[in-house]
Amino acid sequence: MSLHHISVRTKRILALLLLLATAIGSATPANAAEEKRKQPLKTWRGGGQMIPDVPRDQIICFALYTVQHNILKLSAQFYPLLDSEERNAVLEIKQDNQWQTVARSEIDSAGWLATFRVENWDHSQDTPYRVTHSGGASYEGLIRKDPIDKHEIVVAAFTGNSNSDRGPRADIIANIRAQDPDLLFFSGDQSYDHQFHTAAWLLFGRQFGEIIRDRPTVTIPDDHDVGQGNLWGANGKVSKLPGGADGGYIMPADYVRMVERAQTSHLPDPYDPTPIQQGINVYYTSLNVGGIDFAIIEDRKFKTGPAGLIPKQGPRPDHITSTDYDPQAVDVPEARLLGDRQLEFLHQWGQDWTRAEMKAVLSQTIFAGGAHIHGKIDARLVADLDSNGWPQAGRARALRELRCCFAFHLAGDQHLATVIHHGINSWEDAGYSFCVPSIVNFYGRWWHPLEAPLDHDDSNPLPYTGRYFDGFKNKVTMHAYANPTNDNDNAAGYGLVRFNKPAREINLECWPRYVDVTQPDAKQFPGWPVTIAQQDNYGRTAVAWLPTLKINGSEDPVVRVTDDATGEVVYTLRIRGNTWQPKVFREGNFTIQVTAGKEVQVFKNIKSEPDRNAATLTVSF
Amino acid sequence: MLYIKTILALVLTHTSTLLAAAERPNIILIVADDLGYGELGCYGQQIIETPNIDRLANEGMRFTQFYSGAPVCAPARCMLMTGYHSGHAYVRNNGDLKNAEELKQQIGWEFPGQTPLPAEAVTIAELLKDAGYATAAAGKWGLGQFGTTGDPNLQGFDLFYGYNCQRHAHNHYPRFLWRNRVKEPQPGNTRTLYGETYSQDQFTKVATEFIRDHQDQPFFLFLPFVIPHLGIQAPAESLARYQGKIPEEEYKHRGYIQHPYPRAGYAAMVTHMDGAVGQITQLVKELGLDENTIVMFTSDNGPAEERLAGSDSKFFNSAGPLRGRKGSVNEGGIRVPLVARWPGHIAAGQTSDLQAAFWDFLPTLCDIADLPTPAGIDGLSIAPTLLDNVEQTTHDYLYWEFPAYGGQQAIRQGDWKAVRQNISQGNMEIQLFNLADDIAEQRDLAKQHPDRVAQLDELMKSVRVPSQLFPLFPSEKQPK
Repeated sequence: MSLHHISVRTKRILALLLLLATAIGSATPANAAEEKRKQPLKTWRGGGQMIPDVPRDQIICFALYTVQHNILKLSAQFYPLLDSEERNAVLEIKQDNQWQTVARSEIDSAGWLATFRVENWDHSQDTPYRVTHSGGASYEGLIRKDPIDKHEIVVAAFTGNSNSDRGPRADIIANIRAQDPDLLFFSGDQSYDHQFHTAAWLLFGRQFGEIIRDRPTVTIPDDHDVGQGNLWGANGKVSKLPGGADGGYIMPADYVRMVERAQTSHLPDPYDPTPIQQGINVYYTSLNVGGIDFAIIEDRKFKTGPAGLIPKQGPRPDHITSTDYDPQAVDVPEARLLGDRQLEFLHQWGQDWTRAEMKAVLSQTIFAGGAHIHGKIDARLVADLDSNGWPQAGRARALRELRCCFAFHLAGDQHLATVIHHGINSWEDAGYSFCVPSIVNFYGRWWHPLEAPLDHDDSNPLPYTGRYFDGFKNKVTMHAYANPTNDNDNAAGYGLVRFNKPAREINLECWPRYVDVTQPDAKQFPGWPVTIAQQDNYGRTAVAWLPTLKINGSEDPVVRVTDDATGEVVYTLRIRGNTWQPKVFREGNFTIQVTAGKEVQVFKNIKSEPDRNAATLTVSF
Repeated sequence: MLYIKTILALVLTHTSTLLAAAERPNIILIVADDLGYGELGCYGQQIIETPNIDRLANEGMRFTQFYSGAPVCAPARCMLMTGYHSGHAYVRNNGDLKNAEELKQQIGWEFPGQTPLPAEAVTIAELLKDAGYATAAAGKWGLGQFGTTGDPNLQGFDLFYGYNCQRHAHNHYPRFLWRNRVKEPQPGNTRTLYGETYSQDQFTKVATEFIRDHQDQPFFLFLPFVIPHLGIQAPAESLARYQGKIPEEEYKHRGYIQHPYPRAGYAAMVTHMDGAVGQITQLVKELGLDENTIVMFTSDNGPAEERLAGSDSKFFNSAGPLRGRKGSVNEGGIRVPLVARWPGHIAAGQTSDLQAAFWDFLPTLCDIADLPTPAGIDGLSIAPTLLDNVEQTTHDYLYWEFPAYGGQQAIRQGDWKAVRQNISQGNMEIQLFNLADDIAEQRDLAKQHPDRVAQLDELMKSVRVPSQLFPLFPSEKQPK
């Protein structure tokens, strides 16, 4: 320790402290700097993030996993290794009380990650696992059996782990242990340390590892994770503008790959792994947990940047502040949101109901501009092009794919918890989204419309609920929001979603920080819980009806309705029970396909009827 | 072993003396390009006029034993930015980025830039930015093209204006300069001998705009100017000051653009840059920022090799009494001017013989900004000398290694200096000089002082970590 490392002003005081420290026997060797150079590469930023030294038998920080199609994928995050330490890790599982090696992995020195893939995984039972390293480190957890027998599948959802509080998340850990969800979902911004993802990811592991180690977890990176304040991925091009509004990535591709590898290596194999520009990979895929089929999509990666594409509507290319702007003028045909590849994926996924009873989409953010006030209480934006309310046409395409399979949308990013029923052409004609609150919310946003709502439900305790237009003139029906106040920690918290399979209902809970959920008086944010039915996710009003289906010889078959005139799928749904009447949105002839197990029955040229309950179609298996 | 980064824990937790961002002083650090130890009036220059820099020295402190980190541009900048000497620094030589076709096309480079700083490098700009400083650099970067890990925007600078690639900077009338990742066309320029927009004037303009825009906030303005690096090019009004007044000699062309009046052109460039220093310090004064702004001026290495492209370091006595030029670890390649002015903090008219170097900038600026310095770096704060308030900790040694120009190593301890050259050819012999009475390194005392040679040889071994990217000894080269 030498005096030059500190400010001149503090030296005199510190010199005394140093003397004192020396006196009590903690003097640092004169060649401390040399000693430190022998340590592994570390990252540090002034006043910020650093990687702590850990005992060498504790160099495995945490492990993430999912199981899909009987393939276990697990990644273990290591602390930086010393030159002398082995670069391999071992995955073992406990069977008949014996640890058995099932996979080995090299530890990648770019991000200190070991990744394992085990096929033919027996997902019908709980299996203890451990990751070990020759230096003595061992990290244990549990691969849960698929909760297919549970009536209710519970997902805890998080977003925005701001670095303004780098402390532990003890309240969340305790609450999640009590609520014991089947899946954790972190929607993005797990790291706010823009150039120091590994250090931030290790901190994230220390904060959340205890609830992650024994249940499947989905983590997907958002803008801050890849080192930028906003992200319009633009198929992987390089961004040239500060702020990135021209689209693409600001950080070098190696960094982006390293971040995505850390956060998504444990996800099921990608649907189509073809990389985008600069060799950046994709991870969009699906994951079935206990009969709830989740599509995991990347709603930033293919999105077009607004700068240079639409006329500037305010001081920043991504912020619209002029109140008299024409929302249609920014909905230019060149703009993309999910991109063709992901739309195609969603289209295929929506029709595949293998082992699926309900569907949900997990992504970074919701398809609406769900905030009016940004950052400070007097900072009003008309519209934010970083939100997925823009481009409107891309939003409509996305929402159409979601409603085609009655998918519910769970996301984050906005720093403002909302439950919104989306409209494409009419209010509520598409699905619901739940944007969960930030874990730590440094930058508050508020839902605070200037206009009165249409169709406000007087029983809702929140005043600004009902039908609204967002800043892009998208139709949104606000059901619940959690604005920051002086006494709710900037509306920080997390979401809990309960998929009730027998009732085909989705229950949305929104929990503030520092509440003890085990207490009977524990209160959620005002306006929650919200319960929706699965079929509300295609809330469009019927124009006509097809015959009521009576299914003999099978329960819960999959019904697909196709419009004979266009050849397009109207929707696909696994119904509950053996009676259901399909609705359609125009009069005409339709094809109904009913699938039970491997058996498929197709009924062509079924004419719609304007009245409900006019006819019956019996399907026997 | 590749570049080993420091442990990044803070040495001591900062206590109650932390300054609020608004109280921290502004920092302007100007670095000339290939300006020799003898090319400023305040360092004895007889021909080239540098009244504004001389005034800085008169109103502040002048250092007589200050060294660059390396005898060429890119590594010197790395050491300045990161606080390591060349035995530990990441970048230890000039060298172009390779194999980056896709990035090149996407960003639109003509010039590839140099070896990028790694993402983990902690630069002085990042440290100051994190402390609330507005940060800008205008001039020549040389530490990594846009889109790479060395991108100035990713290494702490909110604004970079100028040449990213050093080779782009070989012409002072460029067709474009970079404003962050965007190319800004330079009106009337065709990258020939003359043009309408002189790059130095653009740097001055950007610098003064930045100072005005951020006068209410602490700012760090890094000005790695490109003068007097070749080619010799100067605006007519600056040239007129010397043209016909100093004898010319035939131009000896070696790769840079040919100037008809190379001596006058060279002198004009330096004086033109001096004028820019004057404009900047005048603005600081006008805005009332004098007592809250430290201005430092230095150079990245010694003057260009004798008669390279018409430069005439002998005629100008560019390196003063020193042996060696740019590219050499003899004094002429690495000893550079440093003047520092901060009214009310640095007493006027002082000269310091403190032995200090480029790797001291990072801790010094941290110190001045009242920020903790990352531990494990090689630099020491020279703020105690500048401010004359506490005892100055001094270096046990100063070390240089440079794999080019034959492969060289040098170490200075007190007045002793050991120099090893032609390492690439297998030479391991060390020359020993005593700078106290042989500043020109003329008398090799190695034979008389074998113990000293052995001790400095051991010291050189112990203070360096070999670099895979920039191997020094033939044994360190990786099989290809």
